[in-house]
Amino acid sequence: MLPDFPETKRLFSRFFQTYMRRKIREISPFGMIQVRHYHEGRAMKVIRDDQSESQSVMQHLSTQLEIKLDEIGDLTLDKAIQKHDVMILEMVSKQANFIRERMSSEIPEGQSIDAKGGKLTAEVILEMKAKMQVAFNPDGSPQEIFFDGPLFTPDAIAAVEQEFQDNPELQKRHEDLMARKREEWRAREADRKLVG
Amino acid sequence: MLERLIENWLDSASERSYQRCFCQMLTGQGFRVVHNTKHTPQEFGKDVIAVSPDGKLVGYQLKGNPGATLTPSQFDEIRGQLEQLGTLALGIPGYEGKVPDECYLVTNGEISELVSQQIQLLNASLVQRGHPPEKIKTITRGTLLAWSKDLGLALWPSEMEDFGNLVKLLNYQGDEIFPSKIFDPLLQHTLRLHETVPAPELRRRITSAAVMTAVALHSFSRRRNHFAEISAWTMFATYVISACEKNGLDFSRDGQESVLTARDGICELLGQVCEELSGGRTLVEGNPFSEFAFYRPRALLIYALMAVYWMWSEAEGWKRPEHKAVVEAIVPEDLPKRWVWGEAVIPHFLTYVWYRKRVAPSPTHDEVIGRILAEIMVNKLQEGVEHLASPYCTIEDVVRHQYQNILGCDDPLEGEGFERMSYVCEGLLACLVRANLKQKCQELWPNFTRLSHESISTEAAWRFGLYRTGDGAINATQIYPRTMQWAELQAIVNEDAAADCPAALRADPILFLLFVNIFPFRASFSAVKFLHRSFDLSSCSEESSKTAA
Repeated sequence: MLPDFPETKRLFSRFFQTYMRRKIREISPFGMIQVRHYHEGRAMKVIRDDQSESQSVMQHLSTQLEIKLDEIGDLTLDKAIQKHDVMILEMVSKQANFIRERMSSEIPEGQSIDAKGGKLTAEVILEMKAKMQVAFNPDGSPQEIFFDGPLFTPDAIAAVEQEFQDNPELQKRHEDLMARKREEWRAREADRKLVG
Repeated sequence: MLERLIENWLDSASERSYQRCFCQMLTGQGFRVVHNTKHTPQEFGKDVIAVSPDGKLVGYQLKGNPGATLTPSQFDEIRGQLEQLGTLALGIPGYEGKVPDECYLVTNGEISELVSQQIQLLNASLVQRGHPPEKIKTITRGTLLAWSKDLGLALWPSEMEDFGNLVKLLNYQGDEIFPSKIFDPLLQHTLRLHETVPAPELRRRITSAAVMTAVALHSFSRRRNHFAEISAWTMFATYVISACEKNGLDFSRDGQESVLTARDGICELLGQVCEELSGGRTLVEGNPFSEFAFYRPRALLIYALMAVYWMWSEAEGWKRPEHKAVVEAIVPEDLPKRWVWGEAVIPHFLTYVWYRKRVAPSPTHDEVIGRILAEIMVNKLQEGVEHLASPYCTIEDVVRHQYQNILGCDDPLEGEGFERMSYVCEGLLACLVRANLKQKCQELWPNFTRLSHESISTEAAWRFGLYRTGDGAINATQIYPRTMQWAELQAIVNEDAAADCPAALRADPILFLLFVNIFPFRASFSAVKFLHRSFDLSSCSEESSKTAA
């Protein structure tokens, strides 16, 4: 073989691996979700408080990192990072699609709404929140709600915010809805009891 | 190459470390080991007593002469012991008053011509006193090597990956935590856990795995790393149990003798930890300036090991009665501050509590469990804090994660979150429910229902005994209903426990307890319920009154 420098190359591999993990979390629409490592087993099962169960098997997601032999002569660290960025984008997209598919299949009908092909509006947001179980912080403020999906573009969200600001009636309906959600949350929390 | 590994091992193994392997090889040849001494003044030269397949009582006096020849002067030192071995009646329960039919001087070295002549003279004098001729025989390096090859090496996996793993183990310094991850495939492949094995083959494979365990431990035994040895022999025992259960074989016929021999060795090793700590030795090990990260976790581990040793010896008799007071002096009345470094410490804590309940019964022990459960749940539900790592994370993972910036290492827990989930809270709550601390449970219930309770559920019980279950298991997340009846919770806590664990492991609660202390991720809700019933004094007495009724 030709001379190689495996020890130092291992350090670069470590750098690229860390870079990929961090970047995936940074740009993924689901990057803020807590990651849990399963060290054994082939599937996951959730038994909810209403005794309903869901089971899902592990899925292997992979992408390819490609480099042509004639590219290596001019390769720089920046170019190597760019190669990894391409792969990262593909992986993030696969992960996001996978999560969306799983959520769509797992969320019960009763918690779904149909936007009927229309755009995001204040009415859609109100309808959506009405169906959601909203959690609150001990100080009474609602816990952050994350939106995901083609409907929720930054422009569409800004437009909806404007719609609420321009329409006091919509604002009032939203406040009433959140007040009701807060009461529901309080009732749920007060319900955490070991009785008998 | 593997033969050379065995030779190297035999040529540098101390008497203490090859004795365990020797007993396993006897077991593999159909002997039943009835006595395996710990080097005490009471041993009278009888290191090992075994019953041969044809019913003869055989005594063995072991000497460690690695890579050397037993000289006449060394023989002089043991002549008295050999004579006692051949002539004195045994005091072993079940064999009282009996004199061994055959005796062997065993050495992992050679015996000089002069020593052979002295043994002949000794035999002649025994004949004059009415003993049969050739009463004392010898087993030397050549025989041990042949046994190791026939009983061990012949069935070792021959894949390069396995060979590489064995070499990796031999290349360890020996002062590390035993690398179970590397040893696991070696045991799995030797015991053929991926296929069905008939009983005669499995019996041979068990002996082979035992020889491998002894060889794999070489670096650790040389450093007298007792905990590493305890870990490896515990793995050997649970893997043998799993292999018998997987193949649907009768454990008492095919695996029990080997497990009992391993168990004897483990008990002796616990005694050696105790011995090392007698005389006021502190729990500090290695570079003291890094102990800020490791001292308390090590202390908890040692307290748990000593608690196991105490409960084991109380149940089966103290082989070194003087150790009882030593253990009681080592294990403190109160735990040090800030000892909860992760969920992996909880099996140590529960073992400590169950020991304390026996030594100094008091209702405060259950109150401490309640306090710890409350602390863990608050930690898990709080935002912006470092959440306790899961029991799959070792103390080294946690320390590297906490100090990665100054250590310049990878973060083993990078990106992983432990918020709002727990593997241990169900088990801790079960202890409180069994203690009938209803008010405390009611107080803790709201936070308990806010957590996801994690566990691994195996499809076949035999997988529970392994370091990793493989694909035959499902990770289960349980979210409890917000409102529950106390009686319903009591029923859940009291329902049949450890049904998902191998039957032979359930039949040996001490081994089970040791196993969950070594592999904390096996201290599942089900396992803790079972162990609580076996070791918690209140549960034990409740159980015995039920039995009496």
